[in-house]
Amino acid sequence: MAEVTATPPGRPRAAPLRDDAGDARLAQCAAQGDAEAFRALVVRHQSAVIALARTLLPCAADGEDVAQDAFVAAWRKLRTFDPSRGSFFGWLAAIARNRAFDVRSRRAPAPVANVPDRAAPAGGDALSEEDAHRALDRALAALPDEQRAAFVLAEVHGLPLAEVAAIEGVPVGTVKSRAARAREKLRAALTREEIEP
Amino acid sequence: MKPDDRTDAALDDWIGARRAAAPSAGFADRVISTADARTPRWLPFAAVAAAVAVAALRTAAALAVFVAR
Repeated sequence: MAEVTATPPGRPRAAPLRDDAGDARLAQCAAQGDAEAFRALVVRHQSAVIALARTLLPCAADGEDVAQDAFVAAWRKLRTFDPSRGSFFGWLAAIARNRAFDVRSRRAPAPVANVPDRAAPAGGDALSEEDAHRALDRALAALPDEQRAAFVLAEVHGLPLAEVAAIEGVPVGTVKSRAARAREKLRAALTREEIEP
Repeated sequence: MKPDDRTDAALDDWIGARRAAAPSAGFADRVISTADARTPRWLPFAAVAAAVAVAALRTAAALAVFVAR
């Protein structure tokens, strides 16, 4: 019998390890004004939130500012976090995603120009790791917002599809197909770079 | 390695690299100080005042019911 899973499409990948129960406890303390508990949450999630903001923004340099804004916004509305509705990281990721798209919509698209127009293979058929990453960064930046968000939240940060669906306000099936379409486009971009150096 | 496997491996490798980004030094401190600076100083007092007001109203209501009886 075929195994049915609710994981994102593509190859199985180890999801990032997170301590959701510990996060919920810290969030509860932080909501009562415990700044040290909130600091612990910032330290736990800062790398992931900065990375998330960077992948959603046209200019990666804005990632840290957006992440900082997201954490400050989270601090102010910690009382609205409900662990029964999803993980703390999912809640925080939703804030960061919305902040990133706000910034994105206020600015004209540009900084992709900082990246060379095409990856320069180091020689031979296979792209170097750096070239492949550059090609994928460009392909990700070129995706429609909804596909990029679905892919980044579900595949890069390993959020359950149901949580991504709640963040995006669409059915789980829609998230699944958006993430699958994004993955196909990224694979295609990589294949193109390999075939047409 | 087949080309498809190589593509998937490169994609997975990139996904792993984009999952985390090192924050600059003092990031958590900046977040905490900004959050602290943006928290209105009157908020704790307002919360206490609201709690006292609610308790007073409840007492008054209970007293009114008692006197009416």
